[in-house]
Amino acid sequence: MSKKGLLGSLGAAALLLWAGGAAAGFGELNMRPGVTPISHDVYHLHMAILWVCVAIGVVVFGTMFISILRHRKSRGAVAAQFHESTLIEILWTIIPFVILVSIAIPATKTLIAMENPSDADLTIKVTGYQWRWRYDYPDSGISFFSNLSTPQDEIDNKAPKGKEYLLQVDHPLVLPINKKVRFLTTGNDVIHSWWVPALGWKKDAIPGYINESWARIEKPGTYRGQCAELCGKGHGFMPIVVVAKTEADYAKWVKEQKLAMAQAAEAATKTWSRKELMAQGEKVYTTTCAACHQATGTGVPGVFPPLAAGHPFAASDALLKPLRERGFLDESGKVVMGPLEDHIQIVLHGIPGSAMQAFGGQLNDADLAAVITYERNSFGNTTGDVVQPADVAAAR
Amino acid sequence: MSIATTATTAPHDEHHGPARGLMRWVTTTNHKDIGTLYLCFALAMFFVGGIMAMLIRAELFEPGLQLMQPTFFNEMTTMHALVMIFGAVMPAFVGLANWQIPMMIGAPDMALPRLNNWSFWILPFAAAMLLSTLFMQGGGPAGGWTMYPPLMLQTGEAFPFVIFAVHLLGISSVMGAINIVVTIFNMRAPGMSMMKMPLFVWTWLITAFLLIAVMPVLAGAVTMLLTDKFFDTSFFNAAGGGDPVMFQHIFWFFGHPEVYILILPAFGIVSQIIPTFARKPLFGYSSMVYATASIAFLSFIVWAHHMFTVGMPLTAELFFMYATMLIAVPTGVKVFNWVATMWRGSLTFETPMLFAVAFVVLFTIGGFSGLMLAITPADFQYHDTYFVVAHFHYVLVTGAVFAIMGATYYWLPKWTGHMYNEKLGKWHFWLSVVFVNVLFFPQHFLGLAGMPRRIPDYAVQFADWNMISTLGGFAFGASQLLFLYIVVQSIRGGAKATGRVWEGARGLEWTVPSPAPYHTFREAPEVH
Amino acid sequence: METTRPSLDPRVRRANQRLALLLGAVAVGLFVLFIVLNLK
Repeated sequence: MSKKGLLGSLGAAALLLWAGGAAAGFGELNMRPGVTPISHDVYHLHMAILWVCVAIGVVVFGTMFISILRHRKSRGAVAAQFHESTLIEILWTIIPFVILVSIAIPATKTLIAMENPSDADLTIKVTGYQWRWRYDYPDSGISFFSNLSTPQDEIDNKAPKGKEYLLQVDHPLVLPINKKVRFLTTGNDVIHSWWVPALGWKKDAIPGYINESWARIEKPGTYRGQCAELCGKGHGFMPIVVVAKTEADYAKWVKEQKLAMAQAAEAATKTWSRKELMAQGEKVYTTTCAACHQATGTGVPGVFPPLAAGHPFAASDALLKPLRERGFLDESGKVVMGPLEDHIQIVLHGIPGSAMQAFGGQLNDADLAAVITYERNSFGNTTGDVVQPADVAAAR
Repeated sequence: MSIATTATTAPHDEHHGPARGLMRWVTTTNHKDIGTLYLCFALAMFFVGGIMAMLIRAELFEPGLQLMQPTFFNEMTTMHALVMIFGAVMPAFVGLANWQIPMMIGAPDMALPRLNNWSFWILPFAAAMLLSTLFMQGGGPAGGWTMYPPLMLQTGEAFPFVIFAVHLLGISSVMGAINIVVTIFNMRAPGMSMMKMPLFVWTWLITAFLLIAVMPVLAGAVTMLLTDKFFDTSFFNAAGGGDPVMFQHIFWFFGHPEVYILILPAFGIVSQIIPTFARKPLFGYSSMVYATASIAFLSFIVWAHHMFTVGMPLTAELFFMYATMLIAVPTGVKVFNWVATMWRGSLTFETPMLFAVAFVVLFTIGGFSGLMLAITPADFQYHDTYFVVAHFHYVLVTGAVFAIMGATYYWLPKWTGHMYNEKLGKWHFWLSVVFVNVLFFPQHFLGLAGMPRRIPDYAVQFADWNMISTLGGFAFGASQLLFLYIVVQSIRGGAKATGRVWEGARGLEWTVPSPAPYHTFREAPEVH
Repeated sequence: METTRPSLDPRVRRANQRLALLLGAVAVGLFVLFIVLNLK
């Protein structure tokens, strides 16, 4: 086969991919400029270095290509014997070095600008959990979790996928445009990473660390991103949605949130009916507990215990001991619904050394009461227990 | 097997040739036999890792979860990397080193033949233990081959076995590296000065030093993971006064030199093949040696470019950006030297040359994406996306693996005494080079479009390129069966190979018959 | 073990073993160093 073939067919394949892609609507091919001054700078740096590489590639591959064509033995080429030149070595060391310096200068400028979060107008605290994000607005007291809201049926291929499949949440992060927003990012359990491409950067969310970053969003709109550090089974299922609003709309939203929080606080003191608790409990369970304990309450063998009484659970001694001690595992290795007070304690404080987190700091009393009521009366459990928010508050 | 059973013709021949049967392979201290063992092991592991890759690509064929749960997917990505790096590429390079280095320097064998045997036999044991973790309760490791805490500490029963396997794999590599350094320093034939050694020997010498320097660092890092989990230490646990980011620093202090360990021998291979088929000496021999040494030194001061998003001080980010960009210079010098070797040569394009030329083009493309990744502010967008996956697969598959395949075609006639089937070899090459690009080039687009790494399911705008990539993956994987067939066929028979094999081949290994006798250079050759 | 490997000048063997031990000590030393450096 002719040796034109090598570079020729590579070129053809690349061209085909590109053309076919554009024709068939193959999504994007390139990074986008984004909606912040930093994201624009980053985009331009990216394009600059890309063109430099293309230029060098054309020169180097072009030279090879010519050589492959012209210096073939089958064409009668006779090998020269030169094999060194100090001058050439110096030249092709210095010239690339100069090219690199020319890129390093704008890159340095952009990096210095990025690492300067001072004089912020608004601070947001971002915390990565397995497997959702929590946002706090320290100035307004607003705090909420942001969970994936794509229905499980779509993931399981039982329902058609929407346009925002895997990129939709129940509570997006709402921000004002044209304000310098400072982000304080940390992790609750393992390392996560908060990434919205339209803002131009990502920052790791590390337990025990607080990382600082900032953005000034220029355009109202909805911007979507994903967790960008492997964090376990839900890594692909904890997206980020930022809704950027005009200053007026943002102020309105803050007021609405504060009102809703007041209403929720009130709800924590009232008495709930069993029906209300079960309905709310199912919602909380699906969002927060089902990832591990499963929608059916049957858990994952060897890893996450069932909540359905009568189901067996075998695992390492370290996992079984706390369950046995608190009355949730009988001698035959089957799960039982232990005492209510212990159930509340386990959900509030977690089980140290295991993957069972402490949800006392994550869910309010009403949600905790609801989910525990739900668990104790679902999956075949019939304890009849009804837990009120006040009971949870008292147990803290 | 019919490899190397020819008796030598040395005058005081008190040897009988190799032992017979299975015990030959268990007890051998012969560098050719041990080279064969490493290469066969590596080939088997390449298919094991390849099947894992096919499973990954199969799940990623379409959005939605079709074949597996996310945890198993994470086990596959973790194990695919561990198997390919520690089970396929590194042992393959050691196998090539074992076969070729003694012959290239005119030595009768490696300096420490028994250590050589142990170095190999640790590997199947360690690999079996690592693979067995997939069947343990809680499954195999699923925290990525990078094993970051705290996530890695959530591994179940498999945890101590993974750590132990990593220790064993590291010990095998270090012992092998020590053997290579001692052999090259102490056993060169008289007249074979350092600056007369073939480039493959130079690159392996430098690689061996890197291995000795950094494998113990990995061992330290995973030992600290072990004690954090079982012995109540808090090296990486913030609540106990430790630092999860410290693991990343230690890991990547190993990890960056490791990727040069994975590529320097490939540079050496290409530096042997191109001059042969250009019928022209390597351009800039001393530059190539100095460039390789510079790359090795620089590789120790760039590690944090794998961690630009953890929140390092600005000064550190700038330093690592500059140092990483700097490494592009000696690497570029090597590429230019290969092209200059081809220039005004008398070129033919047998299969080894096809792989070497493809290496130069495609590894350079991988180098370009590497240069882009070096730009810290841009890296904030590329990090942990498919852009990185594309980058390292270009340098490792079309780089290291293509070099290994090229080396196999290049030296198979010397090992077996038979020419492999050139027509089939070319088929293998063309199928591989086209499909590897269909598999990996679109991953650049996916990363730039916003697709993160290590996810089993993705948003719908990523669907089309993922489908193309998967199809390329299946075709590339299937094409490797042809390689297996060609290798086995050439062991069993084929046209008889001469000693020189290739018209333009130069070096001591080409002065012995093909197949190379079981013992070569028991008397030191004369080197001019 | 297979006995057919070529015999080596005992001085060369000793030099090989010494260099190997030195390099092995470097490896072990690095392992210990990286753990000790992280102790508090």
